[in-house]
Amino acid sequence: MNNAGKKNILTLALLLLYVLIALFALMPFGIMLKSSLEPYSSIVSLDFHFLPNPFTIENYIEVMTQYELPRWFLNSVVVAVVAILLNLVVDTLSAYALQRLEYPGKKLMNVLVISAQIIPVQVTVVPLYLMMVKLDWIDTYKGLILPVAISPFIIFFLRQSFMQIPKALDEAAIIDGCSRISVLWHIILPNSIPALGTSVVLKFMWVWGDYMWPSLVTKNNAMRTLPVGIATFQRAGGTIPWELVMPSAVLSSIPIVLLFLFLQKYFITGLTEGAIKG
Amino acid sequence: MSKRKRQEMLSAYALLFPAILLLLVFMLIPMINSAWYSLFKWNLVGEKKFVGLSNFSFMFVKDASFKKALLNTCVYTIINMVSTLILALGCALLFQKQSRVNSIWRAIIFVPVVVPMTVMGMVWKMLYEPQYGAINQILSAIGISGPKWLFDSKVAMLAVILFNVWKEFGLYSIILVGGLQKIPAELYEAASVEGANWWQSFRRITMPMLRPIMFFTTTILLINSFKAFDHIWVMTNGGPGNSTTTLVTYIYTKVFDSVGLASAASVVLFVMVFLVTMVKNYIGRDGAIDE
Repeated sequence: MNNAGKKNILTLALLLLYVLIALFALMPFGIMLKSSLEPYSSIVSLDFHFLPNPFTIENYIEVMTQYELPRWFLNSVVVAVVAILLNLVVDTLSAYALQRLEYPGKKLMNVLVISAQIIPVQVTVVPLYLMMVKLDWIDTYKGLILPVAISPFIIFFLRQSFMQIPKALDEAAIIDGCSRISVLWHIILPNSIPALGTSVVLKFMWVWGDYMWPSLVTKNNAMRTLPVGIATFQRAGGTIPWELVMPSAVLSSIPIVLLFLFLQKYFITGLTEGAIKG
Repeated sequence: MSKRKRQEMLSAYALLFPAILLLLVFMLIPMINSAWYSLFKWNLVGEKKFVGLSNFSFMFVKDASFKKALLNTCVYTIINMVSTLILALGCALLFQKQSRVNSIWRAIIFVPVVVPMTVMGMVWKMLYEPQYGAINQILSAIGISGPKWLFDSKVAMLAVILFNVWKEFGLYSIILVGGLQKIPAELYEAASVEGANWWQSFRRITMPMLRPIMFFTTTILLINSFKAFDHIWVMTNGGPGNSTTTLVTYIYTKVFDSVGLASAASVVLFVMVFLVTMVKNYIGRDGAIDE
């Protein structure tokens, strides 16, 4: 065989490989979407089909009107938004103090933040749950939000990015009469937009997908977040009502996938830096 | 101390206060409590009874479900790590070159990473259904009769691992792409001038140059595998039997009936994560990783 023929076969094989990888990554989403748009009897039907048959949006209407899905969605949004806001305040302030100010005890604080980073949530979950029971914070937004209102990883990440901003800028501003806080507001923050964006996206993803903590701290159906609520769908006898699960799965994936499509760069830097899950 | 210094100190403490408070209350104190509770026998409603280290000796000697959970966690970790690394490296090699098409492909493999773990776990549970699930239907179309996946205690572990590989290979792949792009192009040019083929330059240039980032990726994979829980919980509840029970599903099921055992298992998990982190940081500091 001549060289050009060899090259063509290689290109074809590569193309096939590319397509297989894309199918592997995306097929589950396709089937999720398809199943959300057809009745239960078609989902469990034994003759396989790639398109909804018959097509209906009945599942979406049912799950939105007869179940708590809108409430779970709202809970997830409230928890994510408030947690992100709190993280932005708490993490930025402390990262600034850790990177820019001088005071006794600074070393200790650094050690504290770095060691908190390695504590897995799974290790603290038992005492944290007992604390919530004692405080009577079960089924409250406080209980859902406050334990995730800080992220040692984000503090560390912001601290690293503040390091890139020349200190000369601060000093010039202070000579001009700026206070420490206005230095943070007028110099540090405007120069760290990408790092802040990454932190927001990362926190949103963590909180939006979180299961273990919200499943422990909520007992009441109306207080559940999306992932926890969706996992509770079950019929008597243990079969799962896929016609409810699939539209809910679609609705809970849409916000995060849209966000990813628009803010890809932030997701990718955030996750490659913060690849260790909390 | 000058007035300015004093002011700086005070503002620093004020800025740090919310972080310190939250860190202490929601992380460090629970961490210490976890270790403390592991020394007690306690089921939430009854009396707390100090038992020393006997929760640990019970778990490691007598408790078959804990031993199974530990074994399963190791099996899960090894298979998950190896298969994720192979797939991630393969995709990284395919998509490493900076181009329009490749960036689309990198985005495609990243989509599973961003969606909620438990939600996709539910979707895969449907794909795994023995009769009407998409996977077995596709297999039977090409003449293979698929296993009963999550309902078969011999296959269930592989099924939850396969899901996790699907969910996360894109992330590790992108990390490895970052490593590949840092290898100087001159090295490959020199090799091709010398007449090296693809395999030779892979063995002699890519592999050694990639070692630091591979090491970093492996440690992250180890730590994340130790903590496997969400998808396993929604897909199998640790079953059938206890074929997919892991350390964290063990902790989760014990929260309500034995705080002592749950805490002791948490301590074991912490030690495992801590050791890997130490090795990672120690070798990282030695200059092997300049990330």
